[in-house]
Amino acid sequence: MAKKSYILIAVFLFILIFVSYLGQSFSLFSPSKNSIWPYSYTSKLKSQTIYLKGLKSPVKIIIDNNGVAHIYANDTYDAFYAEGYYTAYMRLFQLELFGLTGVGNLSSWFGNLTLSTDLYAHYVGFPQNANFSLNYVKENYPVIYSYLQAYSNGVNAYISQAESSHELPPIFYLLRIKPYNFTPYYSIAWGEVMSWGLAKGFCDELRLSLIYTHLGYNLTQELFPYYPYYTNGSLTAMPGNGTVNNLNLQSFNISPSYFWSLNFYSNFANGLSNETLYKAIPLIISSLNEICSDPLSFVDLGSNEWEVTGNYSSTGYPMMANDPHLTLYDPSLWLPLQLVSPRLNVTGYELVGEPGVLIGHTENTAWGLTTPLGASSNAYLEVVNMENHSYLFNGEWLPLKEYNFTLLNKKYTIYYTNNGPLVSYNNTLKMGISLYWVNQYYPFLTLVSEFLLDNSTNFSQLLNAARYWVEPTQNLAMVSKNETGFITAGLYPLIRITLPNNESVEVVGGRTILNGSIPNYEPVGYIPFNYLPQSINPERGFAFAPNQPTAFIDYPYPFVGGYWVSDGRALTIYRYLNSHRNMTISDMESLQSNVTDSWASILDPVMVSCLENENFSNNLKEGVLLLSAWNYTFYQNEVAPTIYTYTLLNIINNVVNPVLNEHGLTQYKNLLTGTVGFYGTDTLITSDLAYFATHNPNSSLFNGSFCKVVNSSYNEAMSYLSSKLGNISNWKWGNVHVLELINPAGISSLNYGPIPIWGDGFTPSAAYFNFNGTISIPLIVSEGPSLRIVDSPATNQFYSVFPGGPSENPASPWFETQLNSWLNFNYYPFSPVVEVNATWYLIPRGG
Amino acid sequence: MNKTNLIIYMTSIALTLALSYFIPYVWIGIIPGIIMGLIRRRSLRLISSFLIGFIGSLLMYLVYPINYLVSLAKTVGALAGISWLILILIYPLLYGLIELSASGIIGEILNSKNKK
Repeated sequence: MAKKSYILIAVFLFILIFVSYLGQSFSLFSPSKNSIWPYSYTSKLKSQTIYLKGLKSPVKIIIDNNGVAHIYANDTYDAFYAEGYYTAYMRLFQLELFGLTGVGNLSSWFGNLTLSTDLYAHYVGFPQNANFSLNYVKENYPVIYSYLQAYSNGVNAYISQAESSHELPPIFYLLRIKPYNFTPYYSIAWGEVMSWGLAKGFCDELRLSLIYTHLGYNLTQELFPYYPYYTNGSLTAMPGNGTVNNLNLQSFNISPSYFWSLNFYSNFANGLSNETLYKAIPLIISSLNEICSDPLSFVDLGSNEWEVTGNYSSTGYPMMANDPHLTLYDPSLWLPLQLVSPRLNVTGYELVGEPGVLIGHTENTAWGLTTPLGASSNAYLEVVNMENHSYLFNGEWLPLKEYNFTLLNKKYTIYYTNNGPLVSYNNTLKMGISLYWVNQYYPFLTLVSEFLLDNSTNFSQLLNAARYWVEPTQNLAMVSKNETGFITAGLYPLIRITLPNNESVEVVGGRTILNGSIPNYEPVGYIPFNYLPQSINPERGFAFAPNQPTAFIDYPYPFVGGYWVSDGRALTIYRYLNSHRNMTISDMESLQSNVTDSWASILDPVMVSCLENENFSNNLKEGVLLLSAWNYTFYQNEVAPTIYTYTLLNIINNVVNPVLNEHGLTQYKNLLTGTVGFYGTDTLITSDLAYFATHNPNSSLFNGSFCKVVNSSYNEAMSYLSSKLGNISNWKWGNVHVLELINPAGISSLNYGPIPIWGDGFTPSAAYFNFNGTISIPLIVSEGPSLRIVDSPATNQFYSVFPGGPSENPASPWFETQLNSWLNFNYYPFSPVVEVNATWYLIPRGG
Repeated sequence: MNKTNLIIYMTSIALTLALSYFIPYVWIGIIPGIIMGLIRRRSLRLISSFLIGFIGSLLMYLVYPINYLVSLAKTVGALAGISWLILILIYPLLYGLIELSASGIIGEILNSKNKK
């Protein structure tokens, strides 16, 4: 053989080996049927017949042009089976991700990267609680359990089909992970996560403890009053002084004015001396770090709902509107669908992973949800001895209970007192903080409540469903053909405290952590159902519950742990409802689309009066003119909202930073976000500023002059905006305030956006940006109305829209089907089928 | 083109299409490459084996709905931090190189034997 041939063979051999080796990394991108590309078959929804094992009889699924699936089954079991199948087809990765999050086993997929989230899940107790609830539901509600199982069976049927055709979402292949067998355990565990994300109490008590120990009572109370400053008996969700079914505080011989004048940070309310609270600061900080800073602990958000009676509507029949504000995920947390069987006809939104419809309507009823914000969890300060694993309770040393689990082949132990898991402890101090949460002690019957809502045919059945609701406590908005109202459903643990006048009263939550070593502050029960805040067929013609205080000062079970949001949205909604009669569906939609900020309507005129006589340059003068001509709306093409917001953010910094510095809280500022924090999305600080600016402009918080603060803040804002955006014509709100839909797996390159967006954290059509004290451009919005519904069962009018589509496949036209309509405040008729896009026939295998 | 070469081309194209659809490993291109090694002229052998490997496996992407495949490639590309076009072209390029080198090796061996 010639030398040249040898050389050529050697070169080709080298290329062959090298390319073969390199090619291994690209096998998933080959055109093979075992690559990621078969998933593209799922992008287009085509009509098909699918044979499935486990179905009892044929099911038809019609997917309409709006991305809503209408599932028709001859049997309720089959309806839930088909729901599971359809959900998995559309959202398999999201579904499995949520399930694993709930059971605290993300590390089986992602290794060390998600170990801390798994530990968090076990500390709060999602898997333990889910297991407890699963057994309870299985034993006591076997029919409902069978529906949970049907849903899981449907999910697993899709998994096995997608595995065999290599049509799993590509992320499974790219990460080299396999879908696991879905079971009701995962559904319940994910319900626990969502439940905890909306639960209040524990973190708020820790934050207020930290604030109180540094600021003292007067300043804490000034900044974080028990009720936000503008609250009155017209603005509370339950109108009036707080009396419910003829019961109020005065029924217990307690004067409301006396009660609410008390210092609930003191010993009678928490069982702790100030000295002990100071000692516990390191534990408070570590608990805030461990439990209240995790991504699974949702930021404080709001939601809107209102209902009008037949007397108040143009049709003579009740109507309702609801838009729950949550993290705007991409894909959405929600999946729109209709379930029909001989005994079921419900349309609405599935919370992905939870069988059934959580928010929706039947032919005769409709319901929605908002968060009421009272404490359903509490933080307890414990006396512990970790050397012999015991804790002190009622004068006795008791053994700590152990819960052991393994993650990534490493064993972990969580210790429990009678109040719950010890989330932090300090051996030197002999102290620990435990987390009490309703779900540790009471089965998660919220699922039962959901099934009852889905089957409701009249108002009393809606109310009956509310009796089963456990967590998260929710304002349940309800309408039937002739009745309307809301009730704050769920279990609020009550603590019996003895007031300084020796009267005893049962209250919800605390302003600080509570003494866990004595029985005095242990929960003694829950608010009885009949006395939960409620407004049924309200005389004034409407009810509304957008997270404002649910009940006013004479309420018989006072919300010491209320932690309400600022009332900003509530004020706008109240003004609208109170000044309108003969409400139409279009009026309801218009109010949901409202982007007027109540705090701006109070603060902006004060700002203008402070600035209008200043000798400014042309640019600064133009800014003042825009503020003075502004009507407080936040549309993308307006400049005034930009100037107002950046001035306001500077005012907050200029007021809050000196307070934090002076009282040694600066180092903890990242822990102090939320409704009872200095920063966040819908904080009390803004309503405080509005109140002080109009009632006490010479407050020491403003160093004697609110105008001086406004002036310097305005100058800072204008200078910052000029340096970042140049000419004032570029300062449109949509240029600085943008929506970014978040990928639930935290893969930022898969986030969707940025898209210019209306609103702010105080407008009914809310678009929350998270402010932590750092002023930046753009302000990123990733929380807002996760869906909108407007319903009138009596007139058979149901409208809805959500910022997403049914599919999680970004390559599919069904990925963000409704996003533009949502952005432009357009709605879709929700049922029946409008235009058929695809029809699936699910046939029992062999049938 | 003589009859033998035509049979070699047809066999190699058929094998490229079939193997790149059923087997997701680039080294499988050795098989059609070996067939292409039977072509005598070196330049023709190398160019045509590369083109058959490259174009053949590229064509197989048409099995999938192309607009959705491109959208999917864009998403996966964003995830991996590479262009969607590279994501689609890289495998056919490697496939072509494998066929080229396999045919090159076989061709050189056969040529040497024939010379003897």
